[in-house]
Amino acid sequence: MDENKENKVNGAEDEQLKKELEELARVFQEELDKAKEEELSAQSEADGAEESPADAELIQDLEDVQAVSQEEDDEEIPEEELCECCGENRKGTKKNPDSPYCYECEKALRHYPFELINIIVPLIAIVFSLYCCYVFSNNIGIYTAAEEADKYVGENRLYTASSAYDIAIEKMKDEGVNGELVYKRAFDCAYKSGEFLSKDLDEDVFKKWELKLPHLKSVYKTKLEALEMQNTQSAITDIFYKYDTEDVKDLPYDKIIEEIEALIDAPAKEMPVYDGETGEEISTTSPYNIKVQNYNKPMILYYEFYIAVVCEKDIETQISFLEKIRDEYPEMTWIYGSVLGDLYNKANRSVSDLCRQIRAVNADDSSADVIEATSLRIKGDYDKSIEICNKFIDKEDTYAYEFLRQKSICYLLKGELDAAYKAAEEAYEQSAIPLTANLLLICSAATDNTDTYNEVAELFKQSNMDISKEILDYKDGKTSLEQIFTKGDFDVV
Amino acid sequence: MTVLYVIIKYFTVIGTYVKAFFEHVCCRLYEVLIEDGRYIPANEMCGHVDHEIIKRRGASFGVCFFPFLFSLIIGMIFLSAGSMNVYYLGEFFTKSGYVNIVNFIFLWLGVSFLTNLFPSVEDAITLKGLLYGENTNLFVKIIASPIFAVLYCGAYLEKWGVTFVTSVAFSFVLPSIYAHILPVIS
Repeated sequence: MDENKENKVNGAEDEQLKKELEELARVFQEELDKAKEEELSAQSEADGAEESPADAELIQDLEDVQAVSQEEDDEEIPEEELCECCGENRKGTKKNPDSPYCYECEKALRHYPFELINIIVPLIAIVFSLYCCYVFSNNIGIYTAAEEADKYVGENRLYTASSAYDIAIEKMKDEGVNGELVYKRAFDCAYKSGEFLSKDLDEDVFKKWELKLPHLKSVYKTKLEALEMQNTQSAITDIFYKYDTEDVKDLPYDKIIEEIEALIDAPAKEMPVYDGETGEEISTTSPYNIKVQNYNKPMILYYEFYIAVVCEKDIETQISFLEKIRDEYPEMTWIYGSVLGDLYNKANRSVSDLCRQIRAVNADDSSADVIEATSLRIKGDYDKSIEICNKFIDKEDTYAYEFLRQKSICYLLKGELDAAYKAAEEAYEQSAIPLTANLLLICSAATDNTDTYNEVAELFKQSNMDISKEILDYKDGKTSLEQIFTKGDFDVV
Repeated sequence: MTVLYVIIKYFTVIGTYVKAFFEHVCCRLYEVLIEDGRYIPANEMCGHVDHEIIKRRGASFGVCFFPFLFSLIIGMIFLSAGSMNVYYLGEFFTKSGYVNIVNFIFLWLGVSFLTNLFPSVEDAITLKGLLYGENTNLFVKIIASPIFAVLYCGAYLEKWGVTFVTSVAFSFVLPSIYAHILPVIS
């Protein structure tokens, strides 16, 4: 109980003490604030009393000058230190303090912007290059065909080249390409091989004025020569018809030759050209207005040879005309090669130089091999002759019938009559001309094949042709195969 | 010499412009600082963008080589069609008789691009310094030598305007080259 009373008394005393302490803290704070205020006012009064207004102004100015100087250091950059691009900031960057550009400009210049035109021009060029790719790939077939033809020309395989040019030209037509230089090379090839007279070459490929330009000069020359040859043929035919006789023995050989030779220096007479549709005479000599001024000398010489053959002049006279062509126009083997080789064989002269020359001009010209096979057969080397013939028979060559004929003669002379008959029959099937028909008659007679003999003889009769005396003599047993094929013309005429 | 150079550059303006564009693109890719972004100013920088001296080997090679490569590819495309159609096929006129202008444009563009293949002489010299400096290993020197030789010689030839003559000559020779390539391709 006493304890409780004592606790109550202690609590009241604590309460009283707390209040007194709080009051004391408030008074202390008030007194402290008051003292601070008094001290500050006293300080300001004391400062004002110590300095005069003039001194204060002077001090202030000096400080200002120092402050302005510091500001100028920060803001005004010497001209030589300014960025060369923007001219505002200080040049140099952290990475490259020596850079003539400020950080921003250097960053921008490293990503220099494109103008619209900068992009448009290359873009157009790239798109156009894609179109170019398309054009190129479209024409690849033409390029390869023409390249192939050119390759054959390089190898002197003129007939193969001519066929390859035909393919290339066909492809050009399909693609609507007017490749003048391909036509030009086809013309050149046809000229070399002698096909330009017979081959149908497009007339409207070149423009008239173009033929006068250097790159198409050879086309002009080819066309001119073709026209000259046609004119020459026409002029010689006119001369020949003047002396039209029933018997060739009545032909005035010397006079005809004289007249033909006079054409060499004579100005060419314009050959009339007729319109295909209306039949009217056209004033120009060709679609390209090529004027023919002279007659063609190789053609004149060839016709002189022809007249010599018709007038049954001796073999050396015939050879002399062809040798003139060979000497003056060696590249024209197509005009003299095979006939001269045949004459050399008949005259039992060497044919090796001629064959080499024919092959050098046109490796595809198998007439050289015909001449060689005939020469070997005449010399009695039948096996080698047959070997040459077989090569061309297998290739289905243009002259395959002639190779078959030579093979047949070789077998006849070797005594292998059945093989001879078979080859002769094949030759006749390939080309039913008097030459093959004659041989088939002999082979039929040799093998006693009367059916074939009569059949062919009937054809001769229907064509109003006489069977050769040699064949009739052989059939009647008046002559032998050796006499026909190893003497005289070495062949059945 | 600069007059001749500028005349050739303007005559082959498309190739000049596009080559400068490729150089610009490469400079941007390699973050090379370009000081003058004009493509065809009438001075010795015609066809090039004026940029800082490149100090990195890869960037220097890229700025010299890639524009060369791109222009070469596009130039070969144009020249192939142009040269083959004009010099080989002789397609001077269309079937209807008009001048086949497209083929001549192909040919001109081909010559134009191939005339402007090479870097400026300064770039080539910089590349030489970086490629054949002391810090380059031998393998890189050997591998880069053929391309470098082409770029370095080409830069001088282009400076003297010889690349125009060589590209025209090349356009004449190209059909003969294709004569060997096409049979193999086909």
